Amino acid sequence: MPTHAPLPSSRRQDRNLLSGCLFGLGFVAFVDETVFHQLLHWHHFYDKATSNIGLASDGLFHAFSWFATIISLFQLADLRRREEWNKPRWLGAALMGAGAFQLYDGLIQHKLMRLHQIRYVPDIAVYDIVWNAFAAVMLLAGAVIIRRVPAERYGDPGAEQ
Amino acid sequence: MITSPTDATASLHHHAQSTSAVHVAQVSLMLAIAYFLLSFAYAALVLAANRKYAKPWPASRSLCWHAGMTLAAGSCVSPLIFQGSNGFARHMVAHLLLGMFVPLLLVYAAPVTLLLRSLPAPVARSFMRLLKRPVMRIIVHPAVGAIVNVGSMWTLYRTSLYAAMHELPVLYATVHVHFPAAGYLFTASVLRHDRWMHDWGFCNRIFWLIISMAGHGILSKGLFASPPAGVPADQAEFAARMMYYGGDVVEITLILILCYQRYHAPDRLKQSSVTSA
Repeated sequence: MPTHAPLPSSRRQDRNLLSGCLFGLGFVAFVDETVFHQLLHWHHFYDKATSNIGLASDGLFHAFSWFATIISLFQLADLRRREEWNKPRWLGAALMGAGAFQLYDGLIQHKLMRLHQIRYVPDIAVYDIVWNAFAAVMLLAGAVIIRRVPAERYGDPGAEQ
Repeated sequence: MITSPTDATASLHHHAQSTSAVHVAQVSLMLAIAYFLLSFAYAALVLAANRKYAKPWPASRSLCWHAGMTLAAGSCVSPLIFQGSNGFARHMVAHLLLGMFVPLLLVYAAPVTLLLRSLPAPVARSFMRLLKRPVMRIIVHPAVGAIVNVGSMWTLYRTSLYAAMHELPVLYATVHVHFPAAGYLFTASVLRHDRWMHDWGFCNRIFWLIISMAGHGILSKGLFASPPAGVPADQAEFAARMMYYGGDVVEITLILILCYQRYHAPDRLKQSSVTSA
């Protein structure tokens, strides 16, 4: 028996999407920071080619990604205590959020704003293609999953609108 | 004596006997003593409050206050103890402690609540009236705290103030009192631990927290690229990273507290008649 009242049907679906999407975004940013900045040292903290708008975008996304990771997990805990977690829908949304942010990072931040490159090697194009193709695949896979999963997977079927 | 900013910081780092270093040493000691006196003042107020109320003032709050004051005093005298080569990194550690960690501790020490409890009833009543004035609503808006905090950081590092404060003892003291105070205002308005504060809502508080942390991060990377006058590039690069990631630790802590508060708030769907006030 859930300790909290059920959400209205439309909000329940939106909340699953929002929570998943925020988690995907936060997770990609976290991997970017720990793996590519700290462990591999491929990314640079700052390279002298960065534009001012690139710095602003990095600052905003860096601060927002911590918020996204944390609030999405609290939203997930909330969905679970209401027994309204639609797992496939949430995972699909997470893939979409991850893909969308990685595409933004790979195309806009790395290339357009020249925040920093993926790796400081001559054949950077290979890295860029793999990076952005992987992002696009995540985005598409997420969209397909969301379309194929019934919106009310774990919810009350009678509440379907 | 007026020297160029480059001379001022260079002398600070290399010649302990120069006038600016002596100023800094004297002011640092005075600041540390002032923070210790504030610790005694808090303890005196706790005694007064405990005489008036049967329920004793929580020891955890006292602990937060004394820890905060010890940290503040410690970061003020740290330049005297650690005379390493990287003066700017040392300053940055003190700045992170004074501007972010100390305020977090002070918020949980609830000094305003303690004042209300320990002051004589008529004085406490007029103090409460003061806190309930419309202008206080504006002052405790998270936007005000965020703008004051980020604005003063940019002023300190992006004007000649950083070099000037090592020459003028008054400026040095002001900066080292202003940052904990401004940090307290912002942290208190974001966490709203004190119930007398106007509730500007979760979205407002989280939004201004993100904006303020973004401003902090952007400034850190800016300092990495172009350090304040007189700070060598290698010192600035190390200190900028520390500022960037140290800021993250505090941001994560604040977001966790905010989300935790929201998660445990009464279920609005179940008890729609109960308001947060």
